Amino acid sequence: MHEEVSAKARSCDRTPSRSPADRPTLSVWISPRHTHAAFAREQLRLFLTENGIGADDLAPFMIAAGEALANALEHARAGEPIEITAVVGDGAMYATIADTGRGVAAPPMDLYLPPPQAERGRGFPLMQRCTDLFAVRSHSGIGTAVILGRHFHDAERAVPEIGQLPYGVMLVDGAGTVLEYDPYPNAEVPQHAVFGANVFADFLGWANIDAFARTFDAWIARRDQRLVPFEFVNVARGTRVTVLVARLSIDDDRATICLAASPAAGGT
Amino acid sequence: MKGPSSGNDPLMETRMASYRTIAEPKATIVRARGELDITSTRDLCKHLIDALARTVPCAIDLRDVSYCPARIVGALLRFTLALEQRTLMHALVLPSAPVARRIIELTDRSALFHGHETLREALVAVGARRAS
Repeated sequence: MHEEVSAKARSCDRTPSRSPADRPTLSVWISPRHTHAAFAREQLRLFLTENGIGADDLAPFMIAAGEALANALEHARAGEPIEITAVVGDGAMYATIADTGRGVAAPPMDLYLPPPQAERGRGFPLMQRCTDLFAVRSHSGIGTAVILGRHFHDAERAVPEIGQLPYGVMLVDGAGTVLEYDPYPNAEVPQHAVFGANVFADFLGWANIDAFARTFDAWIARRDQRLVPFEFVNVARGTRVTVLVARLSIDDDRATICLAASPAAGGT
Repeated sequence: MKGPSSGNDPLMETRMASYRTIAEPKATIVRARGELDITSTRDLCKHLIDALARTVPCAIDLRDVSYCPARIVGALLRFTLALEQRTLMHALVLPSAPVARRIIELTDRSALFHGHETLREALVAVGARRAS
C-alpha cells in the first residue's frame, strides 16, 4: 500500500477554517531510513512554510518534529513505514509522528533534562520545550505516536493568546463521569455546561473513556492515527469549540485528560 | 568522512552529514556539516575519539550544521567532559543563528560549551592561535 517514500500535500486558501476537513494537511510515509527522514523533515518544513509559518515558530517546531522522527527511526520495524501527518489551522500547527515499533515508555508530565554525562533522555524534554502541546501514545509491540502542537504568530490570522491554553484538565471514570475538573482562568465554558456524564457522546461518538481508549488504540494499530483539532459541540450553548487532546493518561478505572481549545474557537 | 549513501539525489547529497578532522600541531579541529542525523552519531563519535587520542585541545566547528538532534548534543557533551577530565581545552564554533546553538541552548547546556562565532576565535580560546 505504501510506497517506499511517498508524500501528498494538500493546501487550500489561508482563510481560517473551523472544519478539520478544510484545513491544509500533509501526510508523508517513509521507510525508516536516514535519507528518508531528511526527506520527511524537508516535506514538513515546506508544508509549514507554504502555509504561512514564520521562521521564529518554524524552527522550534522542526526541532521537536526532528526529535520525534529520530525516535521513530530508532524504534520502527524494518520495512514498516513511519507516518508523518501535519495540519495547520486557527493559529496553530500540529504534527503526528507514528511508527509501528516496539513502543516506548510514555514520558512523565514534568520532563527534566538528564545530567550532562547521560547518553539519552533529552529528546522528550526538548519536544516539550519546543511545543505548546506534546503527547505520547505508545503500546508495547504495537507502536508509538507522538503528537506535537504549537501556536504561531501570523499577521493574517488572529494572533493566539498562549494564556488561553490549556483549556482545562479533567479526571473521568470509566463511565465518562467527571470526577475532578480544573479549569484554567481563561476557560470560558463552565464544567457543567460542557463536561458531564454525556460528554463523550459528543466526543466524535466516543461513549465513554474505554471507547475513547479503544479508538485511540485502533488508530495506532491501523497506522491510521490522526489527532487533529476536532470540533466539539457544546449542546447547552449551541456553540462549537475546537478541541485538542493535549495529554492523555489512562489507568484501569479512570483517565486524566488535558484538553486544549483552539484560541480561535467560538460560537458557530 | 561521508555519511550514509543518499542515492542519486544531488539535493539530498548536499544535506548529508559529513565530518572532517584537521590535525594541527596545537589543536584538533573537527568540522561537521549538513544534517547530523542520528545515524551519523557513530561517525561523529569516531572523529571525536580520534581527536581525544591526540591529547591536544580541540575545536569543534558546527557553523555549517543545518540539523542536529539532541543525541548529537549528548555525544558532544560526553566528549567535552572527557577532554576536561584530561585537562584539555575545548571550544565550539557556534555562530549565533545556526540550529546547533539553538538546540544546545534549549537543552540548558550552553554553559558547558565554550561557544565562539568563528573558528579563529575558538582556536585562540584553546590556545592554538595567538590573538591578533
